[in-house]
Amino acid sequence: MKISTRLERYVVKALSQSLNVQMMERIVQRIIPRYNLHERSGFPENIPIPQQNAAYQIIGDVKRLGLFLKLIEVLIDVDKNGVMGRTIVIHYLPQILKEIEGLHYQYYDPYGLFIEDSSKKTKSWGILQNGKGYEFTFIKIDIVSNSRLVRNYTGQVIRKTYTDLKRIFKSIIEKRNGRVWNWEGDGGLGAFYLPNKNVHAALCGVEILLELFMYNLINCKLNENLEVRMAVHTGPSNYIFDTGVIHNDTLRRLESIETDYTSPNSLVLSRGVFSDLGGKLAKLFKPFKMDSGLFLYCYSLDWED
Amino acid sequence: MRILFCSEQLEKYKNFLTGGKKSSLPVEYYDYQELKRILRKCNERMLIYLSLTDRNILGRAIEYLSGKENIFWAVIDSEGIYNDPSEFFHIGAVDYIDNSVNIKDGFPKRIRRIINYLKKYRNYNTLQDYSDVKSNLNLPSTGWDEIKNGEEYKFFIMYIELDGKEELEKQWGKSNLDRAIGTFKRYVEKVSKQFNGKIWIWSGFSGIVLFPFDGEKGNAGIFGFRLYLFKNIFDVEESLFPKFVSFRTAMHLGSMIYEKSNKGHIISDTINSVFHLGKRFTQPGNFCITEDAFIYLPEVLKRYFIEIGEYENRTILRLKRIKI
Repeated sequence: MKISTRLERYVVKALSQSLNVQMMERIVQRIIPRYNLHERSGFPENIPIPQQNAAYQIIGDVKRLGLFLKLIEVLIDVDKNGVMGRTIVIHYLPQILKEIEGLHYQYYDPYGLFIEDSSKKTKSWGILQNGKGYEFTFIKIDIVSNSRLVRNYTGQVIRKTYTDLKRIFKSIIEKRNGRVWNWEGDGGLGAFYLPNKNVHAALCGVEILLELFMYNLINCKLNENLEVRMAVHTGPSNYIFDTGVIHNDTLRRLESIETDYTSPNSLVLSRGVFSDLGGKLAKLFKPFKMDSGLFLYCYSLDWED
Repeated sequence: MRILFCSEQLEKYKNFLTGGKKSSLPVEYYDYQELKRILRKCNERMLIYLSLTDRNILGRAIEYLSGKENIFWAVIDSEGIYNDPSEFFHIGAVDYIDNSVNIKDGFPKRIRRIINYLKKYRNYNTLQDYSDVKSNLNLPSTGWDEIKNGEEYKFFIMYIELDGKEELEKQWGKSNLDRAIGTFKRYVEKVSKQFNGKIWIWSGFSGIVLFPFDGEKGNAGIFGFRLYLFKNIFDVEESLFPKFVSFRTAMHLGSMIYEKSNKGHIISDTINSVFHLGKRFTQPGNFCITEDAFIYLPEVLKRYFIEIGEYENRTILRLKRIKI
C-alpha cells in the first residue's frame, strides 16, 4: 500500500493535535507492545518530545512494520470509545478516511478494521503480510468421481461444468468476504479471515450445496448430477503470496475430514467450527462420530420421500 | 387443451361463449374449412364447439371429428333447431349449449366441469393438459414494461403468508414484529426480482406476488422452489425471528385486471381463488400449486411435487418438504 504524503500529513496532524505524547505512546502500544517513544526517537528521557516529532516518529515506525492501517483503526476506536472513560476527539479522521478510500480500502464498522474495497479481491484482503501466521477458517470442495467424469465426457462439457462450479463457489465465498485461495481441476480451497469466519464458512458450504442442487436441475450439461464433497475446518496457518504452496496441520486435517468422513453431496464441519455456529445454523447439522470417538457435523439436503 | 369455436357465421356467433369478454381460457375461432386444415396439421388435444346451423355440414363435421384421438366436440345450438340434444351425447358429444343456457360469465367453470367429466368417464390423462394452450390474452413478452394499468393480463399469482400469526402477535410488540416481517418481505422481494416478479400487495403477514406470463415459461415456479430451498439461509442470515420461519404459499395461473396502486379492494375471481387456496387449503409450511400453473413448471422441478387433492375443482399439488 502506497501512503501519500498528504495522508501522512493528515495523520501527523491528527496525532499531534488530538493527543499528548504520553497518550500517543499508550495508543501505539496497542499495536506495538512496549513501544517507547524516547527510545525510538533518541530524545533523552528527561527531555519532553515535541508532539509533532513524536507523531512523525510513530508514522515512520508503523509504516516500516506494515501497521499503518492498524494505527488508523486504533485512532477510530479511540474517537468512538475514548480511553479509560475519557472522551477523546481525533481530528482529521474524515479526511484520513477519504484518503484511505482513495487507496481502495474501506473501513468495515462491524469488524472495526480496514479491508480492501469491493473493487479488489486479493487473497490477503489487502491486509495480510507475507510469511506471517494468522487464524483462518478453510472450506475445501472436491468433485466426486472426477477421473470418471473426465473420461466419459468431452473436454468442452467438462470445462463448462467445472467453470460453472468454480463460479458458484467463488461468488458465494466472496459474498461473505471469503477468498478463493486455490482452484485446481477437481476442486478448490476457500479461506475466511475476518470476524465470524466460522459462521460465514459454514453458511457458504450450505449455500453452495443448495445452489449446486439447482444447477444440477436446470443448467448442468452432464447426463448425471455433478456431485461434490465439502469440509470446513478452522485453525492457524501461515499466509504466503503463493497460496498454492501453503501446507500445514490445519490444511492436512481439513483434507482428512473431506476425504475420509464426507459423503457425496454433503458438507462436514470440524468441532471447532461447529461450536461457533449458534442456534439456528447449528440445527442444520447432524453430529456423527469419527473412528477416534470425536464428533464431526454433517449437512446434506434431504427431501421427503 | 385448446378450445376451438367453429361456425359458418363467425362474426355473428363469435361472442356466444364468452360474451365478448376476455376469458382466462382462450378460444380460437375458425370456419369449417379452416378447422379441417387445423386438424390436419395438429395432433394436440382439443375441445371443439360446433356452431353449425346446416344439418348436413354439422353431420359431416361430427363424422369427421368422431374418429379422431384427443378430439372432443360439443354443439352450440344458438338458433334452437335441434329438438333432441341427447342424440349428440349418444354419439360422443361432451357439451351442448343453446340459447336457454347463460354461460357468459361462467365459461371457464363450465370447461373445468367438462374436463372433470372427461377425467372420470373418458380417456383423458391429467397433467398432460393445458400445456399447449396459448392464451390470446395480452401476454407480455418482456415483462413489466408492457403491462399497463387497468388492462387484463395473465399472471402467475402467488399468495404468501407467514404462519403463526396469533402466536407471534402475542409474543412480540408491534414495532418489533413489523421489523421482523420486514426482513421476510425483503427476502421474498429479493428472490422474486430474480424471476421478474413483483410484490403487488403486502399487508401484515401476507402478500401477493405477480409474475407476468409470457405464454410459455413457468419461471415463477422456480421462484417458489428457491424461496423454500434457500429459506434456511434467510433464517440464519437475515431473519429477525428467533426461530425458523414457517410460511405457506399458493400459486395459480390466471387472468386479472392489473392495477398498479392496489389498495387491497380489487375484485377478481382469480385473486379470490388464490386467496382461498392459500388461506383455507394450504397447510402451514406448504407450497401448493394449481394444476393450471404446475403444467408450466420446468419438467425437472415437477418430480418434487405431489398431487394432494382438489380444491374448487382444480387439482392441487404440493412441494415435497425438506427435512431438517
